[in-house]
Amino acid sequence: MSLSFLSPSRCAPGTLASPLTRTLDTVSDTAPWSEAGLRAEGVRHRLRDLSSDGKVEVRGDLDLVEPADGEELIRLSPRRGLLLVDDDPAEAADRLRTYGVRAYDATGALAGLAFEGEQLARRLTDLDLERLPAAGAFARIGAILVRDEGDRFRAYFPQELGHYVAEVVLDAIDGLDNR
Amino acid sequence: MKDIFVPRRMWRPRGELKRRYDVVVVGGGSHGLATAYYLAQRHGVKDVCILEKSYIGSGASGRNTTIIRANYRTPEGAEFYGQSVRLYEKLSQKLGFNLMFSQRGHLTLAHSDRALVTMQERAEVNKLLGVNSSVIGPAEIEALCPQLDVSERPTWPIMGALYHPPGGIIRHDAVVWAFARAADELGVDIHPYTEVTGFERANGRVTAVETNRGRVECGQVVSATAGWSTLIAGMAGLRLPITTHILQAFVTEPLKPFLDVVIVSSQLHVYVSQTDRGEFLIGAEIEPYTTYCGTGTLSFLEISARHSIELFPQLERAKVLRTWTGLCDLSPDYSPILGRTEVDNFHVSSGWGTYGFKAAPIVGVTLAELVATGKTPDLIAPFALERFHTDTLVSELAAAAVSH
Amino acid sequence: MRLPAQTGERIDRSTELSFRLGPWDVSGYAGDTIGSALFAGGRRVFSRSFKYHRPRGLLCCAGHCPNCLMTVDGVPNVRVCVEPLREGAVVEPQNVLGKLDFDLLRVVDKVGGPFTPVGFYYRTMIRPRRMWPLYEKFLRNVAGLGKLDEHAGHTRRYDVEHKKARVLVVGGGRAGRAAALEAASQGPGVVLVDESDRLLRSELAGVEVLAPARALGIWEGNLVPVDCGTVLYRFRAERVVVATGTIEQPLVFPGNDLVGTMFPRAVRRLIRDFSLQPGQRAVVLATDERGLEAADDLGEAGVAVERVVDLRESPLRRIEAQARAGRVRGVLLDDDVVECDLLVASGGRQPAYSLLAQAGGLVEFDPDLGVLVPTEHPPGVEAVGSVTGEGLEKVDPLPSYHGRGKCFVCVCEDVTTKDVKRAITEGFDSIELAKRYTTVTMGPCQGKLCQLPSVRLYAQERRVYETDIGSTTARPPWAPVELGLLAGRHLEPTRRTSLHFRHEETGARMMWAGPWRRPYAYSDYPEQEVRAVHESLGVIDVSTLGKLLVEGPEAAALLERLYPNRFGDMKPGRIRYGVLTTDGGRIMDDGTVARLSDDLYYVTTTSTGSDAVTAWFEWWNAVWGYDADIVNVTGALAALNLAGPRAREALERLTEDDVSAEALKYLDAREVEVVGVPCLTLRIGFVGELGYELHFPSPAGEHVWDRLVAEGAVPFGLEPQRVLRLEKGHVIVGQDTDSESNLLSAGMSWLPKLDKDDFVGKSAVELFAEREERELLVGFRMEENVVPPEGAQVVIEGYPAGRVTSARRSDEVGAIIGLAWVPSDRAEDGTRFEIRVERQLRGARVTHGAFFDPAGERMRS
Ligand SMILES: Cc1cc2nc3c(=O)[nH]c(=O)nc-3n(C[C@H](O)[C@H](O)[C@H](O)COP(=O)(O)OP(=O)(O)OC[C@H]3O[C@@H](n4cnc5c(N)ncnc54)[C@H](O)[C@@H]3O)c2cc1C
Ligand code: FES
Repeated sequence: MSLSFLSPSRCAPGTLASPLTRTLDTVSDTAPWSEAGLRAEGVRHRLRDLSSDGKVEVRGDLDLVEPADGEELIRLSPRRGLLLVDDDPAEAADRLRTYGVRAYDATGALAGLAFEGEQLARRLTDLDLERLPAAGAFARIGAILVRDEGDRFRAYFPQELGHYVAEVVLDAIDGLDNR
Repeated sequence: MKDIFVPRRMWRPRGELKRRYDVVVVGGGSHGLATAYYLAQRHGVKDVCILEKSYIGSGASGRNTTIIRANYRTPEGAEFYGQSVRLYEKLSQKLGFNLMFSQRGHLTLAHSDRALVTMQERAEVNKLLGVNSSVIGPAEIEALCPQLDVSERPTWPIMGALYHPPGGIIRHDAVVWAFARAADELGVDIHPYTEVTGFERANGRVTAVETNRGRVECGQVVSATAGWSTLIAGMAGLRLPITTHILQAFVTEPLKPFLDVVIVSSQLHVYVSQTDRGEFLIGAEIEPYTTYCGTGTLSFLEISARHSIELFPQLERAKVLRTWTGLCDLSPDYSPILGRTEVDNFHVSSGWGTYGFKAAPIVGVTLAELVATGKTPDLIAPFALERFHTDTLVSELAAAAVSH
Repeated sequence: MRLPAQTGERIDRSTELSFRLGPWDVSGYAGDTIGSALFAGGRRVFSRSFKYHRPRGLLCCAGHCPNCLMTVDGVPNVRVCVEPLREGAVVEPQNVLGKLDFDLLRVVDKVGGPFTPVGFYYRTMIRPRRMWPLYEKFLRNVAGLGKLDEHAGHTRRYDVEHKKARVLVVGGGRAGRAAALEAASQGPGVVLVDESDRLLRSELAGVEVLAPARALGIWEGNLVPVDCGTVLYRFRAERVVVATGTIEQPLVFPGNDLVGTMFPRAVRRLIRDFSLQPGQRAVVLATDERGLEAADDLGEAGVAVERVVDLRESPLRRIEAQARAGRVRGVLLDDDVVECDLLVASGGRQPAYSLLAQAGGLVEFDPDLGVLVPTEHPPGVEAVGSVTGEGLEKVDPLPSYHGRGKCFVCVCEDVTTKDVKRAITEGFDSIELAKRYTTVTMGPCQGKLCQLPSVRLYAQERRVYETDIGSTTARPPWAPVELGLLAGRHLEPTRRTSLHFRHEETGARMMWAGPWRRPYAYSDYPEQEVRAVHESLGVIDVSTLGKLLVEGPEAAALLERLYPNRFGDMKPGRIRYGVLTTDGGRIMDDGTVARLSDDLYYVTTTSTGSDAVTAWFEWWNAVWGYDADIVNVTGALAALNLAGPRAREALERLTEDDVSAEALKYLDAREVEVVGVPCLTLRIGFVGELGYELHFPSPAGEHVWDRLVAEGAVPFGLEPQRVLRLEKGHVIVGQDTDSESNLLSAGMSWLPKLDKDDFVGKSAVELFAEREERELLVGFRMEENVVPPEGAQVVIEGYPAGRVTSARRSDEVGAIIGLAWVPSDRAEDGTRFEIRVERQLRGARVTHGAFFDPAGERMRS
């Protein structure tokens, strides 16, 4: 039996939704000090929902893995990694298996969020921002954090906690904006 | 009352170690002192000494959050702790020292329907055994403790509680000092700053105790060393199924009376009471790793502060004054290990985890009886070390883990 | 009442701020503290003491003592001498009955003395026992300082920020600044933290300055939280340099707490920072240069300095402050009375070592300096400047404790020299015991002002050297810190399935199930949802089930050894129910295990168990080293259970694959594409009807759900599911079992395969097989129409003998049914036993087998 039941990319078009959409569409009203909704727009465009980006969990000897163009391998342990892919993750997983490792489409498992600002990152994680990517505590849960050019970051975390993480990030942004 | 005009000594100054004692009690905490006291008081066994490596009450007895209650889950537990609470109720009068036992009620909160079921079970067991305990709903909770946030706002709204009217808090040091004074008066020798370093053994018995102040021969030995139990038992050649962890607590600056009852939430791993001095006394669960290192952690402060505010938002701007740690000796089934061991004359009181202070008087009574008569009282038979060989555990997991 | 402008004064006289003290309007300048503004307005009494309710005034002006604690904007216990003044602030006195200047509880001080010596409460109020609650109520009411606002809470946003430092310097005095600059010359990453906001940042090029801010402690790994008000900086520092300097100490003499006694530095602050005249006529008792400097400051501020005594050169036999209405009116110096309203006195300076000591450093009494000094520092931590004792002169203020009036060792707790002496007489002869008895060092200053005086007094009274006394353990935090700040953001992690919002939109009542939010039911009538499943079709979100892939050539071997079940002989495409046992043979978790191919298994766990089971599998596999990977795909997949007699027919309409009874048999696992989504389809029957569990990518959750509902499937929640499974007698691990339950006692003796070589818990299960179980889990039917609450007790001869773990009314069965643990001699089918429900004993009968469709025809259909 194949593992295609893990792959959102094997679903018919128009069937998929992101776990973050609803949170990002409404600024959290759980914080009584936040003038609900007021800053929604300003905040919204500083964040990007990466939940649908392709992700593959890799198990085995990571040295065997040759990332293709547009792919990025994050090493979590000597035998465990996350491959971020531009193309179809299901196909990438199949390809990886030919290298002699096991690979699982984790696209549906992990939600993702891109944000800007080192200070914001420091309010969310105690990971060493100079030594990313790394896995560790982020908004009090476990996540994988990646740093891009300058001050831009990406976080990947379990989708079932996506709504919570988005609320925390919005709240942290609100806190920085309203010092 | 006359004592307040004329200062009287609480106990004799530390004397020389005698060459031999009939009973050597290791550990000058509440359990050791209570055992010595009841040995002398109920059984006339007065050739007793207490060896304490630091000052009396320096262990968990002087560091705990002093919650006293009897609403345990198993019939064995509920009966045992029930008798202890009854002893505590009259202890101030008996020992002539005000222990400030404040039975203002104890509430264990349920934030899920699973938790409610466990509480229902405890309440039903308790009622059958004469322990006053019942499950109440949010409205009754609010009436008992209007300060508590019973709204839907918290992440884990409060669905109900196990209410235990006789539960409460006590002044822990007073318990230690009162037992020490009473034991001393009956002739028990208390030796602070006397550390046990080993045992001499022959024919499966302990014949003498080695200390940093010399050697003492002994008839029988009682180890009441809680967090250090495995070390002392180890010296006697005994392995106990116990791990030692740290537990932390903190107090706030003193505030005017705000909270009468004791509030416990297992879901949030926090318990809150307000002492007679006005400090909020807040504790949490043990650290999951084993250690003897007493420096504590910042995350404990952060998490328990957060969870306290979930229950009492008004505490947001109250200030933490002091935090500390103590050792906890955890047994696999959250019930104590009490009484005889394979080493003939070596008795233990251990496996007290985070909940042993409330048991001090009944431990004293039952261990004294065992040591004096050689017979294990029925009340503590289920807690014998042997249960780990016969695999007949007394699981208090649902009642003792975190909830004091 | 201000002096002419002083150079360097901190107030801005052009900006006036008005605020309130109780009912009065008062004002001050920008740059004032609330304390300095009140002082400028003529206020001298700031608080009432803890026990005796004595009036107290500004003593240290440094935020160390308890004397200026007031309630500000509803926040209790604010040290107003360091609290910046804000426009509109509302300041209230605390711990007074009546007025600050006339406290009715003052009687305690006047007459209480002999009745309320140290520890009086231990000796009194013992009998009669029933009176204690009344006494206690009184005690509680007089104790405590500020009052919490009953309605406060969630008023501020707190956040935490994680930061790194190469060198973190705590304390911005001379030594701290020098250390920071020195470190900065070697590169970036230097941070300096100081409590005051007086630092000149321009002098500290290359140093990040945090002020006013407070380092709260040094925890393992040089973790230093810094209190910046509403943000907690959590520093990780390679090196921590402690330069906390010294704290002025009170001189111990009768009347040393009177309003009008002040420390030298307090005088300097009032004059230089706030241009205030601390008094009219002053006497200065100096033990060091700072004391003498205060005399100069006073002179410059136009205060009549009546007498300056340098105690180093001319020690006094007797010092006794004299009072009028709680204020200094003069002081007796040996035989001389000098009139004054300001008595500047200090007992020298004590290194502020507590950060070092809290972190595990060593502190010892230094006989050459007469103070406690840190002698050994924790790893990675250094100390510089006067905190090390450097630059301090020997102080040996041999005061006379005799005379009229109370002589305080500890102003926070109102402990007098008499109290300490008494404690020693009573046998509390070690400093730790005495601390607990007298409560010295346990008050708001946490020993900052009382540790040294009490050590000195102890040594004197016990006629030993201070070096033999030791000191009480220093505990974090360095200074009191708000719970809110430590707590940070109040949002808590919550797991939501990809259908969470659909459930809410459908009107579900959501509840907690472990870390998850789940629908309890979609209306107030869960029984209707039960009926829909029995009669036509229902759908429930079971995405919370733990889901694991176990893959590798040795996957079968791994599972065989983890479970008491057998899995190696399963054919691909088949499913088996499995129960995990602990190494003690107890039931740990359960679920289904589907073999997808020779090397690949799909394992489900309970909703709360997925993390623990994953860790358990990984832990054991790390021990055994099988070639198999364990991948937790719980969140990756949504899972829906489509159940009811119409399930197949509905599924057939939604897929082109063959899902006929022949192609997809009971306990088969197949991949089926449903409404365009690839689904791992498991044909299992937890709820007792024909059913399919569809496991598919989470992001498609709403799409599949919507289509199933459109097909007529009625959403059902946890409550109806519990009824349905109970009708089948299916056990819920964790509800019907507890940490002591095993397979044999829980009625699953068929499950463990004891002929296997080994599995986790096997030896224990073998032991269980040999002995008689004390209690057994059985099904029961109530004789009457009463639903016993879960947790109700099975009672035999008035004693608890068992318990009900599940009970529900089942319309389908037409009875009240449940599961209960009963003594093993009462477990025969049909045996009657009694359950206590609301004080009454109700009859029930043991029922073996499922209550509904015992042959399982419906789920197999
Ligand atoms: C933070 C905290 C909170 C708690 N809260 C509660 C609560 O709310 N309610 C409750 O009922 N229980 C509570 N407990 C548990 C309770 O405090 C203990 O179970 C109980 O005090 C144990 O008493 P003890 O006399 O057996 O041990 P201890 O008081 O620990 O005494 C053991 C003594 O043995 C001495 N010792 C050790 N080794 C040697 C040696 N080699 N030689 C000589 N002497 C030695 C030690 O110095 C110590 O004084 C809490 C514990 C902690 C740490
Ligand atoms: S005067 Fe404010 S703390 Fe001392």
